[in-house]
Amino acid sequence: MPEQGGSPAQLAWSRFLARRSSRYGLGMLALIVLTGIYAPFLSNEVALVWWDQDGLRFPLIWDLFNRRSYEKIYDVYFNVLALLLPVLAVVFATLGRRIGVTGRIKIGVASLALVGTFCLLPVFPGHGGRVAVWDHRPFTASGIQEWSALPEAKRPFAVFTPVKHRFDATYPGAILQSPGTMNPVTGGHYWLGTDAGGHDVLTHLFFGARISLTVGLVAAGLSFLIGLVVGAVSGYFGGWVDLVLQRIVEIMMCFPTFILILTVVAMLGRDIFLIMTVIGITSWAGTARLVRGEFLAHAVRDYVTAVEALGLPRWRIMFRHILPNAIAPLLISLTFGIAGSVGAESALAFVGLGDPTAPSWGVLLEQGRENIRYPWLIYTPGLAIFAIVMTLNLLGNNLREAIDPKQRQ
Amino acid sequence: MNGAKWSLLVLTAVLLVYMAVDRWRQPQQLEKVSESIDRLNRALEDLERTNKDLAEQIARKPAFVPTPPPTVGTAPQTGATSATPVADGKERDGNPKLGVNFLIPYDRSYYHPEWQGGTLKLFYDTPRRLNPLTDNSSVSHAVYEVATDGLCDRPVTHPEQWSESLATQVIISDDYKTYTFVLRRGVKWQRPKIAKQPAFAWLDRDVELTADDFKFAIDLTLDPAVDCPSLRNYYEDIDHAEVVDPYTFRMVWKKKTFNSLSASLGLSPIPRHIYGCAADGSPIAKEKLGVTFNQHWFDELRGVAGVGAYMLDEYVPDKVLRLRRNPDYWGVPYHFDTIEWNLEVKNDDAQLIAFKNGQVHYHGLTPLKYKSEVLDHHEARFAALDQADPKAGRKGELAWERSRRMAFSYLGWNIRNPLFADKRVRKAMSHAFPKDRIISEVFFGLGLPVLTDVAPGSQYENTDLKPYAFDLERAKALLAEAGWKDSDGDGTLDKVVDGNKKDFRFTMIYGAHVAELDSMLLIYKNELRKIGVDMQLKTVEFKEMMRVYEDHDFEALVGSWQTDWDVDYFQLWHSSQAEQQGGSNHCGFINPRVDELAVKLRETFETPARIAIVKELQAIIHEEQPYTFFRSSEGILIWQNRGKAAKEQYLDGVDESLDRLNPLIKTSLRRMYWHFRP
Repeated sequence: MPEQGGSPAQLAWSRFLARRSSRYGLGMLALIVLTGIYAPFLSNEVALVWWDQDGLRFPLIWDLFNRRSYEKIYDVYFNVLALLLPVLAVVFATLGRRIGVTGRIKIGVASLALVGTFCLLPVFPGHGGRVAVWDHRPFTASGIQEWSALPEAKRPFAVFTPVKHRFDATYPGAILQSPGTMNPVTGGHYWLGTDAGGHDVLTHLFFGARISLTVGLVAAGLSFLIGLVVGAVSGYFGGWVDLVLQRIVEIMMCFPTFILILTVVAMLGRDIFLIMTVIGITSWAGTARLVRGEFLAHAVRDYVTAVEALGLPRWRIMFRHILPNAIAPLLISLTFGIAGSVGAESALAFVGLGDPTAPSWGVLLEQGRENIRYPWLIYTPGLAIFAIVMTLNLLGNNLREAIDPKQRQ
Repeated sequence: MNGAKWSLLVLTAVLLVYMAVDRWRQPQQLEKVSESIDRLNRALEDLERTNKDLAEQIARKPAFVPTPPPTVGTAPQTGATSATPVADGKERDGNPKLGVNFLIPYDRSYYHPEWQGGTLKLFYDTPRRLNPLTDNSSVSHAVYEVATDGLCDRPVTHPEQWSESLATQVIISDDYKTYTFVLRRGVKWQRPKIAKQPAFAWLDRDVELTADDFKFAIDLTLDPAVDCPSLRNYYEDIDHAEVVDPYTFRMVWKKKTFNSLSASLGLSPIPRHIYGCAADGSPIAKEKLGVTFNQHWFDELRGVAGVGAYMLDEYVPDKVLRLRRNPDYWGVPYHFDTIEWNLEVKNDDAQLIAFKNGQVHYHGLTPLKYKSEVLDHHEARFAALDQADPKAGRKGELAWERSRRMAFSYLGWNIRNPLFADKRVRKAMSHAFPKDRIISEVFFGLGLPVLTDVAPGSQYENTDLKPYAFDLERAKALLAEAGWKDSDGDGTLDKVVDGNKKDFRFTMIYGAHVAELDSMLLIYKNELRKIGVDMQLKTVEFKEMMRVYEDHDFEALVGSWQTDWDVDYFQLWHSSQAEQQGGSNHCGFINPRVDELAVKLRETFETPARIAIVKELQAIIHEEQPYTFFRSSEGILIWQNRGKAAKEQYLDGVDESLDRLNPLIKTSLRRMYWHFRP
């Protein structure tokens, strides 16, 4: 294929997209990410739209800020993201080409960071559960029986989500129900059955995507950051610094990572954030080696000598001059890192060290192991984990082939 | 060129040879790997066992209570003649009295000679060592329950009473401080298997049980060098034990304490002719006894010596522990010729599969497994549930039946915490707890809702108490009375405490890896949310839970206690236990009347008086609600129930009736008693 002009990044991107598996992979990833972000819109008891004599309302939107239901910070973050995403889409569509790719990335990252800070700040309306819609039942599907008693004219017009189960509700008689059973409270069906805790498996799957994505990003991001700093320092300075750091890296590499994670989590408790952190700080050795190699190669190049002659500070040389030239292979390792972290979290949950208050796919899979007679508890999360890990690995692989100049024909 | 060809050939040959060798080595390597995995597994099991032992220790009483196997009623008097002065029969009702022999006569009317024979197979864990005093694992306990007997027994159907066993009479005198036992004559110690070896030929003789063996047991228990602190606790108030003559034994206590009754009557002998001797048969000096006892040669050789119905036949750690009938047993034997404990299968699921394959005769199901196997009928050989017929489970090829255990679970509120200092708040918490819904949905109907720590159906139960019904409005009203209102409209109740506004938010701590607890607390959390209470959940591993119990470091927790036939309120409710670190009154419940009654209960022996005290205690605790009492523990017993034709092949003599198993099941799981009540 003849290559058209453009920056190396653009060329790599077009090579990446030229593969059919990359396009499918991106589609799959988008599906999983969107499922995670829009989980409350897919499965909920609260109505999306509620129209009665008092006017038109959107209870679900308000409920997104209900901190008493969405207790974990990542849930809040995803909820805000669900509202932010359409706004961003509109902004990008109207401003169009005027801001360019870099501008879009900058705006995107800035808004994500802003949202993150907003969620953590005490001004966030959800803290303390000031807007608790769900517990004030009128806008939920649970009221269905009550309205059928009302005269036709007084019945509200309501639009519900496709799956009518609340992720944190406990419905009567819902433990280990087989697929297709009806939820007597909301009138929805358990399309994929329920688990040993009485949760709808499909709902669990939607919300579990959030946890798996968070685990993947946070853990891999953390290991990426540590690996980057250690590798950069080691590769750039060389000498005894390199010697010492590389020995530390070797120690980390010699340790059976999974056993280490297992021990730490068993000792410190089964909190999902702890699990992410532990996975992150135990799996940076590979990244560090990769970064070191790149930095070693670049440190002797002429442009580095030139900026050194200019007297720039070392951190600036390392992270502003060398890093952009060495980032491509690191991005690939990040992709694999995310897949690895998702797998590690699932494995931890599978051996019984998951966070029971954060129902990830691995926690569901562990229930399947304990209740072997209920196959939907194994197939559903198993396929979901398979899908995300395979997609990420596929993308990483294609990315590597697109970026690596040796692959060019 | 030729050289290159040759070297290539040689290289290929070497490679081939290497591959062949590698092939051959592979199984060995695999073996090594599996060996190391085994070793790891064993280490993990050891750890688990330690955990279990700890669990037993924190249970209400020391785990190893020297209680002999239970027997009922009348049978052969081997030699001894009853010389009771006023024994006309009426006093012999098993309830303690002063000055007369109150023991129910020895009776084994459940014994049917035609049922004799066969092997009973069960699962168990490997014990760390088999020692009657220093090992308090449940398996040692189970072995010694059938391998030896105690002075007196608790009848199967009335475990709160006492019957004859090694003692044919007991006279309590000096205001319940002195116990004088007359021993059965002609009871012989089992001859251990090692006596056949030439080095231990000195053991190959008949040794009669005498009062010395009981004195020896007391001396060892009280010896600070012997590693049995929890058991020693039990005997701390003993003044001395004396041998009046070879068949008369006396125990004198410093003070009148109800605990002395079971500690004296339940005492098992320890063979002085074995544990008092070195491996060559020479006696050990008295001051060295305690030290040598902890690492005794007899334990190292995995020996068991008792005077009971069964004697050790074979013991291979992690494989099998087999007991066979003692041919010289003094009493009426149990039905089985052999009892075999399978120590190999450890995993719960694997055990269930092994049970279904007929490897063992009897097993248990957790509530979730009950749902899967019986209610959802994933195992066709179990009979379906029939609400009308409580014994419907016995109809299947594999039988099942509900069985209650002497344990209860509860939600504990830490009264030291300002949140739960007000009893109205605790009552509100109880009103918001949907007990019946949780039992029926999460535990699939297993377990009875309880109001106090006395087992339902026990003679001590106060049936006048009114339950705190599930009523959110009432709970809300009680909280409002206590000053908790949602003043800022954020959906969570708040109250001004010491000038600061405080939200009603607390953390409930519970043990990890119990799916039923996860579901139960989620239901409770959602109910509490409706009345504006924010409950956070936190699971902790077993060791951490023990620390939480001991340091009283929690706001609220889910706990459970094993209970005993001799009710005691001192350990759980006396104020002294709230103040000291590690005390069992972890909720910090302090009530002067309860203190007074708990002490009085420990000094009261007469059953009617005890019942009156216990009922008053229950009423106070029910009113104060330091716990929200939840349910009495109940599980599912399953056993092989094949027809007569298949009997020989699969059952080795276990009949289709569980009744035949009863006495033995009762001994191995002594707290499962009411199951067998008619």
